[in-house]
Amino acid sequence: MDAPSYMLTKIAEKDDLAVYELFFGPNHPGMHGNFGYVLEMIGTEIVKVRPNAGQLHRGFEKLMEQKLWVQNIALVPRICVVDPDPNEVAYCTAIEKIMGIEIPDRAKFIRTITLEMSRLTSFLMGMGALGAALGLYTPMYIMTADRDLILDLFEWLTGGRIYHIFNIPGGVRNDLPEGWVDRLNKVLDHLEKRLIEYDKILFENPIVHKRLKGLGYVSKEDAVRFGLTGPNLRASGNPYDVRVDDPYAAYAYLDVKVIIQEGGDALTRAVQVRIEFEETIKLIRQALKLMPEGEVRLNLGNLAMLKVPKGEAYAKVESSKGEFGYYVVSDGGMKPYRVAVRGPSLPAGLLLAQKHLPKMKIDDVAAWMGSLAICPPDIDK
Amino acid sequence: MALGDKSVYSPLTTLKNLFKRPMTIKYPKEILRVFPKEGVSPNYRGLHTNDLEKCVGCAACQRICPFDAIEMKIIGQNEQGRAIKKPVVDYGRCSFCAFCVDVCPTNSLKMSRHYIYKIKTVKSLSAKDEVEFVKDKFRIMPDEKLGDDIGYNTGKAKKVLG
Amino acid sequence: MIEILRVFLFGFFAIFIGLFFMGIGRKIIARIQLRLGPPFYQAFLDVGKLFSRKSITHNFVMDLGMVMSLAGLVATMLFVPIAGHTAIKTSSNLIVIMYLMAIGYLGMAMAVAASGNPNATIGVSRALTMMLGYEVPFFTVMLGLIIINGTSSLELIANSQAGSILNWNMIKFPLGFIAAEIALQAMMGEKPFDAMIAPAEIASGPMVELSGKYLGLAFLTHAVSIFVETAIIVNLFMGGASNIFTFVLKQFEIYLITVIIEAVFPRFKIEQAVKFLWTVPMSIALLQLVLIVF
Repeated sequence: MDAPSYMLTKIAEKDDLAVYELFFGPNHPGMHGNFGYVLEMIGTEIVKVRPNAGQLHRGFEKLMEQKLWVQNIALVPRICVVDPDPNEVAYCTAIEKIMGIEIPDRAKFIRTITLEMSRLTSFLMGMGALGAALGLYTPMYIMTADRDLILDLFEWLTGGRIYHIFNIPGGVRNDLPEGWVDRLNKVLDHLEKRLIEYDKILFENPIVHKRLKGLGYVSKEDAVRFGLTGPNLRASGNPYDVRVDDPYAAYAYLDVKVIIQEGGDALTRAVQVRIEFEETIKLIRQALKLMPEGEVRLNLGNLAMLKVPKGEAYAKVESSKGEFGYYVVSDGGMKPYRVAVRGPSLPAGLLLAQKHLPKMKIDDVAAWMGSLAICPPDIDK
Repeated sequence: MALGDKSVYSPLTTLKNLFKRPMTIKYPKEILRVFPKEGVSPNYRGLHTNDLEKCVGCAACQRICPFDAIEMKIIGQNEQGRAIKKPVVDYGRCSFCAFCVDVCPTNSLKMSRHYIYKIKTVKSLSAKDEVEFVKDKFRIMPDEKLGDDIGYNTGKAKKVLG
Repeated sequence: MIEILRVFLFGFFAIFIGLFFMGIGRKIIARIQLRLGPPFYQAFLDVGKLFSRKSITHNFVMDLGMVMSLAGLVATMLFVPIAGHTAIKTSSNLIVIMYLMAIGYLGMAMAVAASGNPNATIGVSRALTMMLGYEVPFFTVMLGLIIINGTSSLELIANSQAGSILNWNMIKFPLGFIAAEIALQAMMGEKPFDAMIAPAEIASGPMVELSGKYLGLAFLTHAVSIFVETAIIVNLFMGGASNIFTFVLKQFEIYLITVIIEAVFPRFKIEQAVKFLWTVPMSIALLQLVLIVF
């Protein structure tokens, strides 16, 4: 913030008519999702921000109490559209924890691979959206095309492109089809080659550096204090990754590298996503190599009549945006007694916004949101 | 790692895309072949198909449906005088999760690889009537019509949900 | 009568070429983005569609502003020599052109201010700030050319470069050409200097309140501005042309450079853009001026 504009703002603050409200979303090209900020502005400078959440409220948590255990699996992926798999896995893991069952190893590996693929799609979407927020549409189009290749694989495996509804308590719904692994390897090779191009167009672009450097700085302590997770937390220098610290699925068998960077500004977060993208490809390769043979599903009887014993469990999954947590309480019936969802975008989208957006120019709001990978649906769960 | 470097010339290397094949296609004229089978994936979750001979009308699909999209319609009576029921799917509600396919005890209910369903709306209807008209058109009793192209199914013995 | 017809012909020609360039530009950007892109005549279809739509106006000032912005640019166009033809002949048209070009933006500013949308207001204030940014280096380059040719007539400047390609100002004064090219990028409002439009920041800025015919008029304004601005550069640096076909081809080369830069760079913030324009192209232009004068 340079001094003169700030002084002008100071003078104008005394004038009642100088402050005006600007609705940044839900109907705004720079906003991804049904969410908005009501910005109180002077000129182009924000003085106060009010998150305008609730446009996407479908009452997920309450709705889940009305449905059978297995029916909820068709509902949970809708909490995060770009990265739906972590929701399914977290919900299923919580049920398995309450029931005290261990799923077959092959199922664990298939879950891991789909989770990492889902992470790839989400990262591609996130990097593209960050580029688009800065006005650079070229990587967005290329990344969307590449994301489609992964969606093809999902379609082949699960029958659906976006909402896979693939994990069920006790494992996954079907085994990998023939020829699927070869195709996955080919797509990974392609993505690795493309990564160099992404670097050239997006991450080495001098104007991208100019725009993102120093934007939305989060200190190491602040990141923990606000409850940021995932790449945002690691970009501020905190070595925390659910995949390593509290392994689920098959991550205990894999060698997950936790990447941390000091810096904590938008540029660091963008680069963090870029590095983790590369790591994710390596991780899928690793999982494919170690994949055991065997069953993909425990026989739990008719799942429609599934009764989960009395108890409660919290399961967490490292999604592309941070930690997705499901706290599930069962009273021994056919339906959950209570499900509480912890979404990764809530701390950044609601709380950090109050700290960062005031005194920011309107130019940076979209880029700030893109760098923090804010995905509004999980604010409104 | 070279990340964090910047160069004015790096973005310009993307211009070589001008000489590459575009990743998009002219859709109705050309179709990409991605899967071993022509069209969408071999186990695509499309519109339902139901073998009405095999369907016993047990309503398991109705009970599992997360979105209450399936209702059982009485289509006649058998010799004992009991109603014969068959599932009717409301595609306005269906989320194509395929739990109904998984749960079907006789394996009669399957999903096809067809995914296009179109109706002609009647323009002369009033807004309220038109809604009713469309609602009605969205409720379909799956039969063997789409059975030529089976997508998601649980095979002969492999049932997923129980 | 013939004179009036001639003026109309020039206007339609500029609009036609501008829209044609826009369509080809979209196609090229699409190919860089690995898309097939729309057909090259898409811009004509767009304008045709927009003019067939119902449109919303806020008040009379908005109507006036939109027409003024198109008229201002068409008026500018009449002074620009196109392959030896000029609609209105004057002895020092370069200065007239630079003055009239501002009217386009001012008309847009008037229309948009009347609409009262804050996004649009921010957008147009950015456009006027940007004007402040690019005019300084561009005028400096022009000053150099006026000094060396001893005239401010575009025809004479173009004619002085006749003969071989080595006579072109582009080859003789490469620094000036680079500075003018950067300024042109900002003049056309293409990335990295498209802060006035910026969909992700201010929801397309001035365009946010325009619908139907008004958006169509904005399209036409942009088309004419493309034509005028490339024509000025062609006359200043590429020696004009003997026939219309060569002239348009040369214009297209200039537009191609703009489009390619547009495809691979994100946008500056407005303060960064003005700072950039006042430092990099400005110092190049000053250097050129010093080389010319001494």
